[in-house]
Amino acid sequence: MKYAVMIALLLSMGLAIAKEAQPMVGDTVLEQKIHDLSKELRCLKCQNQSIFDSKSGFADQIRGELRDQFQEGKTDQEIKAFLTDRYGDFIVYEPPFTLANMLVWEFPVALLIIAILVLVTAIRKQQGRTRPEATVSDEQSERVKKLLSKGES
Amino acid sequence: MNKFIIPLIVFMAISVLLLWGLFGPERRAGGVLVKTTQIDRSIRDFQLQRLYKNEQFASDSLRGKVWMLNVWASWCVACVQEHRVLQAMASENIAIYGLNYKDKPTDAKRWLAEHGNPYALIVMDNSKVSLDFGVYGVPESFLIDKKGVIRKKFTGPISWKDYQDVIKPMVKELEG
Repeated sequence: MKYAVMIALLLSMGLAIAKEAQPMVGDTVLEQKIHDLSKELRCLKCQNQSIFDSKSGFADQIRGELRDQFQEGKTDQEIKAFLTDRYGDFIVYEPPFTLANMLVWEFPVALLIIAILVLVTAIRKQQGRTRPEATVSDEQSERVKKLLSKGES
Repeated sequence: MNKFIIPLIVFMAISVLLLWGLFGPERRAGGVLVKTTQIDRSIRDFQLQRLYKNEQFASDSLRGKVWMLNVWASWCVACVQEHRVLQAMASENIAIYGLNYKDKPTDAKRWLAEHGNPYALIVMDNSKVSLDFGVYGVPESFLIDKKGVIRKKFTGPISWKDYQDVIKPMVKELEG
């Protein structure tokens, strides 16, 4: 009897544990939104990781905030504005369009354009510098002709 | 030789700019690049559960007072470092209000029993308030004036020098 009970219990253990794997969350649209936006945000606690990648408490907190705000119906832009208002532009990976940022990003392009302009003007100058017209008298050209034809005859 | 003067000057200018970026004052603070947006802005008023009393505390009750909000946690190592400075500040009548961050009340209480309690009172974060203050680590401290405007922010532990050279004169000025 004791064994029977034990075996019955052991067998039922499997039944108790067995359960179909539940999806982690119900709302896949919401999860996708959180997933996408959290990849565009920088974890300030552990820099060089996104909020999506990081396991820090800070990243957790921000992900929680994304969830809350998406559930309230906020858009990506509104949430980004909310976060940059509190944490500064650094929290979003995409830099905002400011004068300072424009300088940083356009400086190499400007440098390239300047370099090309300098090169073009230098080449133009070189081409414009025509060689002085050689003055050859008839006598001299006759001599050249003679000299050249000598080898053939 | 003259031909090289202008490119040399341009090169030097770019070098100085890049070195400034690498080693300039913005980078010196432990490589922290996070610029705070909080200075000279009114705090977003909050209401939070107190640590020692089962009641709410509302930040707007501190209007007309100069105070410091100190964000700390029992698991935070750097908080121990600044703790003696906070103790000294409290002993010189600077009102420090604690915001307990990502912590358990029992741990927080045990930590305070061990290290001493410099706080006028302590509230427990609900993860919304710390976000409103732009907190991303502990300790962080905010010096707040009578109108509820943040006048100074400290990221990381407050040093003795910070207290003597910055906080003390500033509190005196703000209270005057």
